[in-house]
Amino acid sequence: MARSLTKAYERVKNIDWEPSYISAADKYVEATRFYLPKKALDPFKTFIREYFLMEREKESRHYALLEAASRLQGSNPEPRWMEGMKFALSNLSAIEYSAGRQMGRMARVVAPMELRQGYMMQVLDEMRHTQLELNALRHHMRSWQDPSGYDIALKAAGNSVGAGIFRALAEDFSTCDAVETSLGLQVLIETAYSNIFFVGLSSAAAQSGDQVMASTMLTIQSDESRHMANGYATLMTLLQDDRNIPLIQEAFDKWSWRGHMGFEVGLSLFADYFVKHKTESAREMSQRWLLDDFYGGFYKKLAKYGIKEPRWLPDVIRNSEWASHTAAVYLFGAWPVFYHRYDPIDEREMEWFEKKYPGWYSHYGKFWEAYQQMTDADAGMLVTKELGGLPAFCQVCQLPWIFPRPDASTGSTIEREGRTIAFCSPACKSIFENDPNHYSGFKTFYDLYDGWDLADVIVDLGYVREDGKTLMAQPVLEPRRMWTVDDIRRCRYEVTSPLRKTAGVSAGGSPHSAVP
Amino acid sequence: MTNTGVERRRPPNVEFRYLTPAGRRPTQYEEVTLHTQWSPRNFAAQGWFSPGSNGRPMWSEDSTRLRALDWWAYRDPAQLWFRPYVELQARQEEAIELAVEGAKQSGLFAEFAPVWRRILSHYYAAYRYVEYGLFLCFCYVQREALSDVVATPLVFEGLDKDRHAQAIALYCMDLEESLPDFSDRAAERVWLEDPVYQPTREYIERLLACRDWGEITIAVNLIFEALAAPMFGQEFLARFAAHHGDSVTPVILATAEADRRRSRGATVELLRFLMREDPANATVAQQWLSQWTPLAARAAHAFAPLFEMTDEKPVNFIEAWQRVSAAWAAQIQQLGLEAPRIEVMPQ
Repeated sequence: MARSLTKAYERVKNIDWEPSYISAADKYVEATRFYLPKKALDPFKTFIREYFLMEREKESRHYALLEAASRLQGSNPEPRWMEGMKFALSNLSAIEYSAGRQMGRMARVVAPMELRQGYMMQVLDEMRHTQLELNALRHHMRSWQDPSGYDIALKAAGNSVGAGIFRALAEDFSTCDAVETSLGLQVLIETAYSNIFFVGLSSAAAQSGDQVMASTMLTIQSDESRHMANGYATLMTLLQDDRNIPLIQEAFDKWSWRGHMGFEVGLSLFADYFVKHKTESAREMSQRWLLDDFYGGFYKKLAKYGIKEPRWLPDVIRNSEWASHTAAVYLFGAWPVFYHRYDPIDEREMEWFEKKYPGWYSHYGKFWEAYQQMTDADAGMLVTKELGGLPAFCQVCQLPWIFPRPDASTGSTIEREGRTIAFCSPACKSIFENDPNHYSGFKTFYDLYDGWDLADVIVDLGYVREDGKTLMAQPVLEPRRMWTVDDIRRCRYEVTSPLRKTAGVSAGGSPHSAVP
Repeated sequence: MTNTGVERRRPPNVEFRYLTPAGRRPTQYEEVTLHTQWSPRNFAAQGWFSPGSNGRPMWSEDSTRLRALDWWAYRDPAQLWFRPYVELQARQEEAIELAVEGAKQSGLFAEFAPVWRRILSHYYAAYRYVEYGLFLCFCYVQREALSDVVATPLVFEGLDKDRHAQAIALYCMDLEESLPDFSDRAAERVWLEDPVYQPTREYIERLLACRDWGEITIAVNLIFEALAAPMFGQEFLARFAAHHGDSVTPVILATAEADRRRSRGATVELLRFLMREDPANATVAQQWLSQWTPLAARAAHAFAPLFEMTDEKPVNFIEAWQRVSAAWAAQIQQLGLEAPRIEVMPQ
């Protein structure tokens, strides 16, 4: 195109009008508590025509690889990784989907045209990412030797207790103030974690022999700069009005923590526990990309506007030290209520952990020793039961209240409207207390299953294979004999809410009672 | 690989167990679309985690008066997902670029009759506001729609409208480049003040104020786009263009029309599906038809003066209106609904 891009772009976006048959408020659908100037910073100049041509090209390249992978079936991916992807891919696609649906809402509430165009491209991007991930999942289901678990992907994303972590995050950024959505999603999640997520995870996928996932992550990453630009442009636009500073600070305080618990904890678990051939630890990635690049670079530059370090950043840093290991205690400890096979860590990995996380063995070694003793279906020992039962889950982030470390938890409870409510941390508790109705009304895992035999819970969730009795989840990749619902039933484990157990005794129990 | 407890096998017939295909086997469209949207109505047994400040959850049944037992049972007849959609639109945009570039190279724009240049710079240029207003409507509609399969064609429709608005703006710039006296500066005033556009603007603004996503979808795809939009785009612009030396505008219009047909197909199917789910939806749709049809008819009739602006008149307004309104009424009747009688208003 020979014409001036800037001139053309000005023309294209000069299109908004003040309505006269309805009120301006009617046009913007919802109010925002932020102050929006009329003129915004332009995130980027892309016409929809160029978008279609560019994305078609990217799609062709990626799907050529996917189709070749399906035909050739030549790779030998790591089983541990391929099993973990059952959990990862099912949950990822739902987050991307909900992010896309938000962009239209933001486009209606946020008036400046410059931002509106950028958001709308992101609507399509997020749909693209959802479907790229589902196509990877579909490919894995049809090429991996054990499709069980992949075949219930989006059902599990709806009903698994672990999936609640991601849905709670997505619902939070979907129903908060529409401008806050941009600060939370586009800045504190997409900008802060983009590298850890797409670069880190794609290299982990490549190391694990999963070329399809590596390509999926990289082609998604090529759209992410647009989303970061959207977040940056929104932020810079808001910073033009000083009244926004305390509102931005408040949003950053919240989302710095929400992004960490809702997103980074899961990523760190994957990086440390689902990659067999380990190189960089999750903590090192977090140090480099989150603390040095994002908080030490991008974020620090906001100081001149009066934006301070996020309130809970010291807790993020402290939590990051042990986050992946504590999340692993949960995911491995509660293995029967998930839908993939596990590969417990070996001696060599334990050494690696001790080297990368000095003190690891003294805090987590016992758990792994116990886990390894309880993988045989015939022995009928259930790690979940023997180590004190399932934990309570945080009302805000839906993670168990065993963070940062099971032996040094910051979990707590409060009583509200006749219920005992658990939190993983002072940060989540404070976020709840700022807006309790925003984090209320759902059923906890124990509202659904308190008092149930674990075997019945698994059947109810639908996490059994097509024979109707063999579990999808197995505590090792290659069990001598696969665990069945009957094996679980023989273990006689009644799901018991930790909050019920101690209700009336103290302030509603302690997280330490529920873990080793 | 031997260490995994199952024999290495390639299970070609493995399917997602949570979805019910419309046909014998699930299509790729179904596999990458269905149940990406969660709800306590599909699998989210814990319910909604975070209601908004208005007390409503992320997706709420009260976002429309339409009712369905299973919102995930709908299927887009075009079966579009991202990749085929982007391919389709890239092809359409290339067609536009080819037509425009060819016209530039051959000096075809010089053939445009003076009156036609004025019509394009004033009335076609102003149509981008219509498309843009509809785009804003679909920003809201796609956010609220109650399942992935229902929302996906509505997401695409929003982007279609944005594409049309931009295509008009870029085309006007191309015309400015080739025709020294051409300018679309008057377009905004035409949109805001010219009587030709005021009923259309009222229609679009009322849609912007509407908070029922089902109502907006029907009021756009089954009423406005079937009754008012064709009077301008198809009956006037496309038919009159050739008679005024213009072979390029019809190419752009044809791509927009193809999008409209696709969206109409999706909405017709949506309504058929919903009337099967709950017959009460027919009553709701009938009420919307009664409410929006007179406004759309008024918008269509406001375009009548355009048909008188040129000396060459390949079709007169009344003929065109009879054709369009008869086709529209037939479509509404095919749905088992009653097409409201349209009183032709004096201009």
